[in-house]
Amino acid sequence: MHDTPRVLPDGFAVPDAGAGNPAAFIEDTLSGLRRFRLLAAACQLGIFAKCHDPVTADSISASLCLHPNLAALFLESLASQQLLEKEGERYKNTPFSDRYLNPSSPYCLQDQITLQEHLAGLWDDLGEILRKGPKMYEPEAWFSELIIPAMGANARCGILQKTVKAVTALPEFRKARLLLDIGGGHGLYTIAFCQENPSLNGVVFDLPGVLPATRKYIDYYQAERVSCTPGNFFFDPLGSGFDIIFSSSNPGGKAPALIPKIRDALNPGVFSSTSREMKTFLMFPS
Amino acid sequence: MNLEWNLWAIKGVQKEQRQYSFSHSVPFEEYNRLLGEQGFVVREVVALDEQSIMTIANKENP
Repeated sequence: MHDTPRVLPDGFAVPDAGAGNPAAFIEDTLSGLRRFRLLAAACQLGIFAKCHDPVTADSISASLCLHPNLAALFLESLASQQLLEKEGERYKNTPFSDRYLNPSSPYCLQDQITLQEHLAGLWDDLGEILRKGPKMYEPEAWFSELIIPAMGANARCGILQKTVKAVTALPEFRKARLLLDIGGGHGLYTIAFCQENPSLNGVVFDLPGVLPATRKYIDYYQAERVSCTPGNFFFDPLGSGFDIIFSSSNPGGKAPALIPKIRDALNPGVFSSTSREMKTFLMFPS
Repeated sequence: MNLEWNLWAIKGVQKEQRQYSFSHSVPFEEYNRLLGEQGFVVREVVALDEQSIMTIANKENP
């Protein structure tokens, strides 16, 4: 004979949850996801482009074809996260969102959000990935479509300025005529170096499939003295005669096997480099 | 997060399990030491910010 399951298996004793409230813990795990989805949807819809100047929820709803009631709640939610400010019935960007989320800002981080959305999708597939193994990407698509735009956006928000300031202050920089940027990706460092030294020519060396992304930045900044060399720095020659060799945030870029190639490509001069924990190496002739 | 770093892979690129680390690379300090052994003089290590370090090295005269 089976015992009937009891609604209160331990009588009136409340189960010990340790320090926390278990329901609150579960609810809390969703809070970051809600905030991220809110942010990502706002970027996808172009909310921060619309809200540089104050606009009403009705106006946003009409121009973006959104459900009017949901649009109003959406804008309220963005305001609750300090991504919009409400002035009467109108919403406008906060200083933060206007600087970092408005596509017309030079510091816009939407490409970083696009990358994070992609990574969020991996978490959506976590169970399947745990069973089948890591999701595999072609290197050139992964770098050119996701990583390089995100790194370029991040770089413009501070590390690019700090790096260029440090490098241009070096006495060798003004005398340099040819710079190599190994695995240069977006090429923003080289473009900035060439803008700071009118006698400098720069070469961005990266995978052939990455360089179309590089050329978009070169074209945008009209960097006529920056060229691209396709290749894999592990296997292909780097060239020679460089006065500066620069390397920043390269996958595998701190490989000892690369050191002799870098040395041989360099005039007696300077090498510099960084990585995601941002290690930059700058090599000069002696 | 190390788990997220390991949820994806790139064909032909070998990553280590630790976030942002790749095969064939050595730690920053070790790399700088190897530069010194292979024809460079590490003249300066510049902290650009909390996460960013730049090594400046000169090629030695042969």
